[in-house]
Amino acid sequence: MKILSLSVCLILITLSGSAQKQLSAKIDVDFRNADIVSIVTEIEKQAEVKFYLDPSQFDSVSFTVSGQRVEVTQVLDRIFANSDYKYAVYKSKYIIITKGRQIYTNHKSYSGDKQQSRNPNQGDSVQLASNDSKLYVIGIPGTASRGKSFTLAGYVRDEKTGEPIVGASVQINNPVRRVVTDDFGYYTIEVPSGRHVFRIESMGMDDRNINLAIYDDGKLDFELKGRVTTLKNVVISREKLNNIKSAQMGSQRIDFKTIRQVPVVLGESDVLKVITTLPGVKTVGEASTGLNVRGGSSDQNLLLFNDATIYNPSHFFGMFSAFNPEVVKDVVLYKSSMPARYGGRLSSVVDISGKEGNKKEYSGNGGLGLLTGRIMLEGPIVKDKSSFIVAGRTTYANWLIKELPKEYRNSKASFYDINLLLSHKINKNNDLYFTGYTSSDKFNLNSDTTYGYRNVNFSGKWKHIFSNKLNVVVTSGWDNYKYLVSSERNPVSAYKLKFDIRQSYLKAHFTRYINSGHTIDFGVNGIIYQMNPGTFEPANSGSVVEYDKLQSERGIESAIYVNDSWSIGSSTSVEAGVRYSMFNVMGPRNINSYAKGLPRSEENITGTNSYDRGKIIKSYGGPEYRLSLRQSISANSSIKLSYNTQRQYIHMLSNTAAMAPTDTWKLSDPNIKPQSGTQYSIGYYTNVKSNTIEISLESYYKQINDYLDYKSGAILTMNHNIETDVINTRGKAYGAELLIKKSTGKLNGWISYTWSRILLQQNDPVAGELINDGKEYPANYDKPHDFTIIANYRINHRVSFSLNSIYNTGRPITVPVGRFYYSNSFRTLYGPRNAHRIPDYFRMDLSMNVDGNHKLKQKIHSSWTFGVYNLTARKNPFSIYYVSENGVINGYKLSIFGTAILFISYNFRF
Amino acid sequence: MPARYILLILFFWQVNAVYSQPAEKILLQTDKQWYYPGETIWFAINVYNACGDTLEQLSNIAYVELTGADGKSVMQSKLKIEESQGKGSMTIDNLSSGSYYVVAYTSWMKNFGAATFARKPVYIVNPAKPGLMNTSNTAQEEQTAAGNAVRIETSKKQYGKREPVTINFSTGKPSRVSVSVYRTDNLEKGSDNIYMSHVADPCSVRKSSSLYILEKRGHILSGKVIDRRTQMPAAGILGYLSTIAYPDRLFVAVSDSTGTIRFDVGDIEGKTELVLQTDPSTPNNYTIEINSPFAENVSSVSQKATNDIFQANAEEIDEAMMSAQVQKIFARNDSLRQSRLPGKTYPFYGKPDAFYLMSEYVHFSTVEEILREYIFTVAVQKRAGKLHPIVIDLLTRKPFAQQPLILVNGVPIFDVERFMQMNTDEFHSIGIVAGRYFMGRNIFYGIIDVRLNTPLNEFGVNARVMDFQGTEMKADFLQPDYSNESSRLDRKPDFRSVLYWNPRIKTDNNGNGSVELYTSDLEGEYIAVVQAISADGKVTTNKSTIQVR
Repeated sequence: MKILSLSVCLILITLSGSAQKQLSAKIDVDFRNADIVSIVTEIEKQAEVKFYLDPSQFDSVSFTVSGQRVEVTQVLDRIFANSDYKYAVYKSKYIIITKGRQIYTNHKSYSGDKQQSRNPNQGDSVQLASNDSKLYVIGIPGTASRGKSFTLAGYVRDEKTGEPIVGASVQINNPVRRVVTDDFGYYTIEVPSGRHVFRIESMGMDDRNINLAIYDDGKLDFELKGRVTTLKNVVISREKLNNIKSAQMGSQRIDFKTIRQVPVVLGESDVLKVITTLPGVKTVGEASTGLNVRGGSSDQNLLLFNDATIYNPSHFFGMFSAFNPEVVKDVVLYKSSMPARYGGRLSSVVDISGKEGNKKEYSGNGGLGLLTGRIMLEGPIVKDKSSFIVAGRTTYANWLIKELPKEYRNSKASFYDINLLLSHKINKNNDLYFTGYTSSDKFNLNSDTTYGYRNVNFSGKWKHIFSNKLNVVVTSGWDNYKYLVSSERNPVSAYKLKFDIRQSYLKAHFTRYINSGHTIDFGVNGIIYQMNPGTFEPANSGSVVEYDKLQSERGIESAIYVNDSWSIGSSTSVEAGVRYSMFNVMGPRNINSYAKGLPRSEENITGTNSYDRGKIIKSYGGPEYRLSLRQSISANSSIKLSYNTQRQYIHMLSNTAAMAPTDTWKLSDPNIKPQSGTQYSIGYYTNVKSNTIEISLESYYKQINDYLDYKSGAILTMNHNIETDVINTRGKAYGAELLIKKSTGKLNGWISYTWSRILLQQNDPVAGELINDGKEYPANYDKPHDFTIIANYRINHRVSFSLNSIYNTGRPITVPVGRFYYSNSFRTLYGPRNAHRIPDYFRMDLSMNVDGNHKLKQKIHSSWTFGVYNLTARKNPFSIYYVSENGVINGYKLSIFGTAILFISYNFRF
Repeated sequence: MPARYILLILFFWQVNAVYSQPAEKILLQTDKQWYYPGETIWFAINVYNACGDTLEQLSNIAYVELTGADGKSVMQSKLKIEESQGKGSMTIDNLSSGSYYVVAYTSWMKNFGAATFARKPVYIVNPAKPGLMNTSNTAQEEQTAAGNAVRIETSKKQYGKREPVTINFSTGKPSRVSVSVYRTDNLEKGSDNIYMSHVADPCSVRKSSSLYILEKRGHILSGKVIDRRTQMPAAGILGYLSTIAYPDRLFVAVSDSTGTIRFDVGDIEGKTELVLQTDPSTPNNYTIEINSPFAENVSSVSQKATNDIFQANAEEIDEAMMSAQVQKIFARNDSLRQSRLPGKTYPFYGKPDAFYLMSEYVHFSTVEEILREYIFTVAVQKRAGKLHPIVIDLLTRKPFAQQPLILVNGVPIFDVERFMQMNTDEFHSIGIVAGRYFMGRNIFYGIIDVRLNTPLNEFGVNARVMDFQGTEMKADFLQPDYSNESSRLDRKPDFRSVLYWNPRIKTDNNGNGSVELYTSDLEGEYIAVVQAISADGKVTTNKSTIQVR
């Protein structure tokens, strides 16, 4: 181009000799990193020339040139050498600098430039044909004579990627012409003038039929769409396939939406109540939140709320769980293969995660039911960085108590719980979370005895991302549970009975991603327990009650663990983990020792050892293995196996099957061995109907060693030598669980059926009295058959109906087989332990949820729930008991909700 | 206005036309006569009542074409006629060198034959595509009272570069004036000729057909309804036409006994897409083929080209090419086209009975859910296993038995199943007309009007989509302002060879007026041509030259 323009200059120079002086003037230049405007301004001073240019095309471009007595064109040639800038000289005086495009001062050189001779009426933009309905037009209708042929050319491309398609066929039928695109996806075809249907075909693409009217030579690109064989509108989410793809078995995640849909007593949505509808999870009675998972007792469940251990998760005799549903994001239940990071309980982990507050704007939720009212507020503290949630719940339940059987009619009850959740994003690699929780209950049951208990928990969590492959979560916190039973009406016998347990913990959990096959989790846990098992004291100065205090207990539980999630190809994966846990019983404390080979009783105490503060009295410990394996059988079914061992160092002492406020806890010590368990399970998982229905069938066998049971007539409160009243039993549990779950569609819900047994045995005469002659006997929560239907039918997005249906076998009880006369009264003689059962349990609840309209912006979004609890009004017995009254033994059957209960609740969001 | 009334009016027009035979003729002006690649032909038309010889607007749309020596059109444009005047432009990109005509006519004029069209010769010089020319004009000129009829006075005779020029003119009586100032050379000699449709006087020509309708209120698209099986025209078929541009509009029409169908679509400006459909409830498959509104044969005159100008005028061509190249490369962003149409308009049915903005509601992923959940004037019924949306009549509070009209971006969707499966992510709003709506002889049992955030690009099987170029958008001839020092010193070259073009100047009551302009960087002799049309249609013209050094 430069040579060309120079020759142009020469032509011009020869044409107008008079101008030579100006352009050929010798100039001196010396520019260092000068911009174009200062260069041309300087040249204009020395020579009689005028420069035209667009300074915006020289943005941040600078030039360096120097020379003595050089011509203007020489300077320009030098500075524009190897650049995109070109210049033209007009009338030997005007110099026009352009970028990229050359200006020709001679029309012959203009016509020599190939660029100038494109097709007429063909701008830079080429028409794109991608619509079968559309008529594309090339040229002007009516301008072409009939029969004349034109050339059409262009690319065939993939609509999505824009990539050219090689070997695509471009064809017309009248007359038949067919060409194939070349290596660049380009085609050229000769077509007679007029209307044509172009058929474009390529492997794996949808055919196109493009209507084209052609009246001139032209260009047309075609776009083809990849052929998709879609399953109609089915979105296969990761979550849905999770039960098949993950090696984890026996785990269920339930989010807050599902929790809300399940109708429960009195319309209060309840986290733990929903858990009890899952297979393998049972409760003793209907108003109980004590869970029995796969034959485990209610103290064998680790209940975590944002990592804080909740010792008593119930309110109001267990009618409600102690979690405000407004703050719960989801809950995960692990019942067979427990991840290695959890430990310390034999049966299950119930991990409840709180919501993270809204970091954008303030909002709130709340609800008013027949018994409770709750409210939750959330919002940003610093926008997009930190947020808070504060929530509270309380009851106004006294009116309901008046409806209870008359012996409870003068009862009073109150409770509340408060949550505070904070989250703060320090930067993209660091997050901080804080959870504060307290729940408090107080009631008296038609007597002068007041029961109160309280949970207080704080936890802080720091999440740090080292890299995309390594992150850590460090959690620390303090948990406290205590109760107080007091009676003050009679000043002479006024007393207070207190219990409290405190634990402080620190956990660090690391996740290291190795490669697509391995992800390693590892970490350490440490818990310090401090417990006051009981204090009995006079409530006022006039009381004659004698002060008594059980010695306090201390212990340190620590664990270290590592787990590998290992995928072997896409069809097999393994979770292999080992956790080494250790428990140290700490001083100060006095420990009784008992004569070996004799039953433990106060008569057989051989001595008492006293340990000082900080002294390790006894260490227990050992490895726990967590192994599970998944093998896919097909794209949507798999088989899983798991083997788990667990150790538990803290035990609940309870003489009720349910959780009761007077239950106390006991740490392992030299006389109370830790419980240990082993579980084998196998499961088959399949998804049918395009992953909309999940089916799982699991079976397990579990052994429990050193399970605590009680001697007949055991005293559990204020017992200084509790080890003499408890016995270590061996338990075994086995069962099969079926879950059919449909989580999408108008009708959704699940059906679960569980067949399970839990049998205990005490056949060591040395350990204490034999129960049922050393034969196996069912635990008091053994319910072989359990069938649950949770169904939810949505008429539309505003109105839905939910139905619960629960059937299970009645739980075992020990019944009197005779009576004897002693001390002027008939006394009952009890038969073998847990040999009989109360009648089977059946209940059906129905509720209707009505949501407000779908407008996004309104002051308050309301919704209503109406329902009937215990629709069939069946009098399900909670327990059967026998009381000796006026010398006669009478049997009573206690039903908690012996009638259908209508309920209504109002929920709001703002 | 319902189509039936339009048809009625059209009928009267046609009856009327046979007797009184109103005829139009066009006076055509261009800014200059010789053009180079990249330059723009600026043109203007004035529409006359051919028999009264007075400015009078009958048609609303004018068609302008650029035809080559063979009489074939190379560029086409549509103009909106306002106050019996229209203006537009064509940028010639890479046409072959040769003699061309700018031809202007209305749809109505097509009834009188191509000889009545206005025609002005122009020359295109493209060194890349040389060709022979015929520089002796064969087109009819309007003989005008030249010379002293218009007095022109320029502020100076000689100007420097980027210097202001004032041109005062006086026509003697109130007139419409066009002013063009352009560079002259041996080729562009500065003609003051005005060209009118005078090969044949439309007033004396007997109307040869009544096929073409007077486009009094905008575009009338005519075409044929064709039976796809027999490829024969079909009579009495209801056709739907939707324009897919903002605002999108719907039109219905019925084919007559010859299968001809006409849609009176009014003003359409710029490029749009038309979607044509027939009622799918009729048993056969029909398509609608819309004819081009341009005349099939524009030029009854072919030109004999003999001259090779490239040898004789090499110097002039070099200079003109220079200026054309510079202007093309350093083009200022002055070709912004503006719409003449009002910005916001209501849908054809006016205000809907209910209107839902999707962003104000919870998102639902299926159409069924949206209709069931919060659109209470629509019921979703299941008929033969398929879901049908049915509008509930506000008057009777009962659902209609018939299907409603479903519009998506203004395009009727007849396949209800396809509608119910649409992706709702792109839904912007839904308007409901909850009552009978009459359009022509058609009754819609409620309207469901869905607007998308994105263009609709999947149409029904029977739909036919075509591009449609409406009237040109407003593009004024812009000129630089060198009133301040910095703009005069701007290093960007200004090689305009046309310094000024304005076909729409109005004089004061005494016939006086003036224009102001700036010279460019291009030296040479320039000519200022002033043409005036008085209120009674008389044309006068004069010219004056200035020098730029």
